[in-house]
This record gives sequence, structure tokens and C-alpha cells, in this order.
Amino acid sequence: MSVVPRLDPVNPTARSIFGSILGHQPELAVAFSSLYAEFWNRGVLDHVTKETTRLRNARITDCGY
Amino acid sequence: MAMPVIAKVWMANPKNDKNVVELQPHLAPFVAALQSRALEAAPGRCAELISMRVGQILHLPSSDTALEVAVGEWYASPDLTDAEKVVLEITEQFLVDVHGVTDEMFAKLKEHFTTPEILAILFHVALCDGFGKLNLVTHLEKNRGAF
Repeated sequence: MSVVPRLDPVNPTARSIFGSILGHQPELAVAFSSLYAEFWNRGVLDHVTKETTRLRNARITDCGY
Repeated sequence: MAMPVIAKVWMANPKNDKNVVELQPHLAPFVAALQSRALEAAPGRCAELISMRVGQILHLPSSDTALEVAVGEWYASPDLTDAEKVVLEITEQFLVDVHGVTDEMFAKLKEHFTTPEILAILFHVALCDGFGKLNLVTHLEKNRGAF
């Protein structure tokens, strides 16, 4: 499978990573970031559990994050 | 943080977001805002078509509308545009095996949509996939995915 980025960032000098790609949809980026921050900063789960599930998810999906 | 107006409007619909509110109330307004933004940003009928196809693949309850039938047979349907068929093709591959999404599929997307539109389409696919599965595994309200 190709590993060449399939979407270009708004800023042509930036790397094609999730954050730079989101620049194409600023309002979507704000909404996503707000949810992500809330998810990590509050809630009934401890951080170890959250990070463990995130890591396992990333392994299974071959995600680089 | 105050709930965004758009989230209030979205959540006022009794069909929307009840599941997430019940599970994690503090996340609800943020989830609603994100879903609303993704819905608004997706071009044309893409959001509706994606929601339908995700629901079909996850075996969520469906209707017998002509559009629902067309989406189920998208590859041969005369009622869908070429652009919509490309969106449904990548939606299907995203759910069944995301590693099977190809450069060729992206090239076809780029023939019909701008980069911001492609981003919105993929966000909508990801949200429908994630929240549809969340509803499925928790046996909560059996509505159409998250939308």
C-alpha cells in the first residue's frame, strides 16, 4: 500500500499530518479538538485506561500516533 | 464551557445523541457540535448516503425508501451520481477493511471533490463508523448510527 500522503496541507511547507490537514476545515478542527480535549481531561476513566485503549487501537489499526 | 448554539439545535432533535448523553453527559455537547459540523461540511447528499451505507453494513435498522435501496445497490444504481458512488465505495472499504482504501479511490474522490470536501466526507464516515459501532455494542437506542 502506498505511504504517500493523499491529502495536502493548507500550508504547502507543512508536513501532511492530521493537524495540518485539518486546516482545510477550521471549524471541524475546533470541534474535534474540543471533544478530544474534553475526552482526555475529564470523565470517569483514569488516564492509564484511556491511554491503554488508545495504544491498543493504534496497534490494531496500524496508526502512527 | 457553554454549549454551542449549533449543538443545542442538534440535540433538540429527540433522535439525536440520546445515547451519548446517557453514557457520558459531559461529552455530549462536544460530540453534538462535532457531528453537526461534519454534517454541515459534507457536500450535497453525501452525509445522508454515508449514514445509510454505514447503517446497512453494521446491520442497523433501515427503511425501505427508494434512496435506501439505491444506496444498498450503489454500484449499479442509476439514481446515484458518479461522485456519490465514489463516496459510497470508499465508505464501504473504510468500514470493511480500512487498509484496503487505495490511491485509486482517492484519485477518483479528487476528480469530484475539493480537499476540504474530501476531509469532511472522511470525517463523516469516521464518525458514523465509530458512533454506529458504539450504539451497536452497547445495545442502546437502535437508530441510524450516530446521525
